[in-house]
Amino acid sequence: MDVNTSKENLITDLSDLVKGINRKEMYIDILYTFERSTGILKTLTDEKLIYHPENAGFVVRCYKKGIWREIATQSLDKLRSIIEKIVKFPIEKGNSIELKNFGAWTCDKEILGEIPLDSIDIEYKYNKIAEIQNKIANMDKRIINPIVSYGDSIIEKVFVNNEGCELYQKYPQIRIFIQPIVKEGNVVDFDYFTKSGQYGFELIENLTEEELRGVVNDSIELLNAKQPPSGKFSVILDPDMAGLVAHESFGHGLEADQVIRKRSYLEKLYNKQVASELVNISDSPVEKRARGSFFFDDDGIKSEKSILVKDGILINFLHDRYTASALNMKPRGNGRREAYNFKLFVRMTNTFFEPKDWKLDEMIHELNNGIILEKGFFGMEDPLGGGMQVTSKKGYMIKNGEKSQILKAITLSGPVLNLLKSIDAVSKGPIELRGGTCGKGYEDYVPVTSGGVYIKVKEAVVGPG
Amino acid sequence: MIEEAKNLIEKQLKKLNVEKWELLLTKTFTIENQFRGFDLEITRDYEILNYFLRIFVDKNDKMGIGVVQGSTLDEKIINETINSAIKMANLNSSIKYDLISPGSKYPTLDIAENKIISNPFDFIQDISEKLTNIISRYKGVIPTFGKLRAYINDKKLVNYLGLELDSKSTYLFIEYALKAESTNNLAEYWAKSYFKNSDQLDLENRIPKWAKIAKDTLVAKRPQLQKSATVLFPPIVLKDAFTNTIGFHITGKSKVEKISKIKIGDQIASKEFNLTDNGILTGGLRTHPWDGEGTPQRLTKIIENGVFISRIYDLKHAQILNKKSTGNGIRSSNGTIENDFTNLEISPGNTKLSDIISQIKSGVIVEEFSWLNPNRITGDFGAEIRNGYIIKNGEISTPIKGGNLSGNVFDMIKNIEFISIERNFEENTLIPYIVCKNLIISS
Repeated sequence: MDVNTSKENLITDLSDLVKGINRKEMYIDILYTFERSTGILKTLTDEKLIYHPENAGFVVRCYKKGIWREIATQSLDKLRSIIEKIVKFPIEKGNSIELKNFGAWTCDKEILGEIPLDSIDIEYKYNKIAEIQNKIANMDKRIINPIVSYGDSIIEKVFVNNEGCELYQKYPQIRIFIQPIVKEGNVVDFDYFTKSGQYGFELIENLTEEELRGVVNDSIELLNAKQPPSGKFSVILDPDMAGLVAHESFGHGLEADQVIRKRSYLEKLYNKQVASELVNISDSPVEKRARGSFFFDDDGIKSEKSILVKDGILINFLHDRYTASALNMKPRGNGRREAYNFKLFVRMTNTFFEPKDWKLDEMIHELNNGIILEKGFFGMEDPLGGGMQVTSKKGYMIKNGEKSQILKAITLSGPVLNLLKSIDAVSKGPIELRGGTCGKGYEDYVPVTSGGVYIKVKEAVVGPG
Repeated sequence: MIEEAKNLIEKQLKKLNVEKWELLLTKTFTIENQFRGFDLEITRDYEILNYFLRIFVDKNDKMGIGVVQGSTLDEKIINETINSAIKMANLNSSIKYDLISPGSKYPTLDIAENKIISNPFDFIQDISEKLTNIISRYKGVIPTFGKLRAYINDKKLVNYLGLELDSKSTYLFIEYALKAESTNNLAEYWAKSYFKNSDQLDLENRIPKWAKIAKDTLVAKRPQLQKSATVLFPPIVLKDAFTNTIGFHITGKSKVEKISKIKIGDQIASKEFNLTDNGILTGGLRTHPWDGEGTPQRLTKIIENGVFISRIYDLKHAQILNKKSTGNGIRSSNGTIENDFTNLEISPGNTKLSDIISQIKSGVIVEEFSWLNPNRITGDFGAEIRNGYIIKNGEISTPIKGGNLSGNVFDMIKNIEFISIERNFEENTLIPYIVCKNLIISS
């Protein structure tokens, strides 16, 4: 907390600013966010060390007759005058949606990690990353550029509103990304390894030789990858790719702001079959130590797991205060901002396919001529049309029940509901979550994970990615 | 506010005996309206001060660099920040290079609009009304959401050599989704872009095009599988194809990092293809008198008649490769310097767009992909067609949606059939329409 006061005093001061404003006349809240972060990037010839001791600020937000007005500032001293200004903002044409009162609650939670990020200095972090890069660089002569990127941050948030919420949370975020670029002849390629979560530096200390060796071997193997075929194939998606489908192609359409905008193809499918009966998909901001978790969202709502699809039936949308009020549903902590100066939107957290009872070997064995897609690379949402574009970094042909030729990046396309309805096997757990960053469209990035388990799809459209 | 921050930080740098440093201060005011349908959803604004301090420590022929970002003017925190930067500079090392001294000649450029600066609130209200009024004229489409944002940016760059540069700039952002609906179908055109100035918005012409594409997509068909498709790419799509691939491989950094696929002197594109990095382009989003390091921005010819003739450099990579900076040290959002392009400008061809279309017997035009995101290293791409049309016997015919178009950007520029006379600004690019062959459509 870098506002020269304790968290207790800050909560009291902020509460005092809003509690006199009559809730019946308007809703008002203040969010304070503080982030201290370190970044280290090492490539063949480049080294970057970046330290942000404090990225901190307040956002004051007020709701009247369907319209929000908000002002963000870096200064605690300006809050009183901002509130005086914001409560008077004129409404020329609003709507009749009353923001529900979700009640007062308190929260004071903190995650530190086994080796707290602020307990070790940057020199130690730098040396460790250099050691990892050095190890990778010496693993194979075909590595032309061993790229290692490290980032950590400590996040603190305070939220108060005129419903009596007084909330505080603190948690770490840490992430490492390793990308050995390899070359043989004229062929250049790479695979990647990433690990992230709400851990201390133990996440880095516990990286194993096998994990480092694995990403180098995976990169080298891609030098022999062929272009994937185009057309319709039976496919298996690894947890990473399954998660991309759950998140990008399906989950964005469940964000209830899209429903209210009349921009979701899923609006009319509520309580209807949207996937095979084997499919259960959840979004959960309470997954322990996962990158997309928190105790309360930026709307001041307590985090809870949402089961989105149960036995193939769509049973929930994701909400913030406004959409839950407008649709008379329950918010479970999906109102998120990239930072205090970014708008709050309905967002996913940790989104995944729940396990069933197949073994991966059995799923592969079932395929005579198919493809397994591995390592999610990127994807894009289509909340209105339900189209799908998710791309894997690689894949393998499956011939007569066995993995064979390695393939370059593969894109899955076509209507996502066709794919979900075509799922005929879902593997056992435990679920695997891959950390990433999600934009709402093209901006407003928040940390998330997606994943789950292996899924097998009878027929999907694939092409080079 | 910027001056006060500069004086305070300089004072602390002196107190701590820091010899070699550079300080960039930015103050950004942002005002935004967002819409739900035709209705205003939120008005928001904020003003933020940030400073990015780079401290350099010489180590014989090497140099360590520590980068810190700060925002408060508390002396104690500034001191901690400076000490962190010193510590980091002592840890790492890279090639030593000189920072920019005062005395360079900088271009005079028009990069700020007075009507935004003088009253940003009124400006946003006026454009908001205009936008919604124009959209409401079009039957058969409705907006589902929209964003309209204006930025006013003040910058000051100073360094230990006495360099002191100031600038004020403005730019805009629009994101809008227009929806068309029939009994059994939904379709949209989802537009999003930054604009250097309000003239580029051209709403009277832009919105009818959005509306037409949205309505046409309602009756779109899936394209058929094609192993060697001819594709007409508009500037908005080419921006995504080129910036992350060609835009990277033309840098000195990509050569130093041993990742560049292209060599000086090689024929890397069709003969009609000419590319410049133009940091002083009127209307370019990254047009600015100086780059992130204080080097004057300029125009650099990169590809001439399809031959790769020159790379672009920042100070560091110029030093490594024994060249001079071309004004391509671009400041990233975390304060580090990236060797990157300013504005990519592709020369116009000599055929009108309508004549190009009339010469295509069989092809497609892709108005928008879901996300065209080529692999930066290899140039390979595959992306779902969000909005497009079939071109048949010289005419634009059936709308298409879906299917995956794939290829490789470096192969694409070798397989150019036509380049149009017409060019559009798309953020920090000025690009014509280009027709390429030998692409794959999966469906």
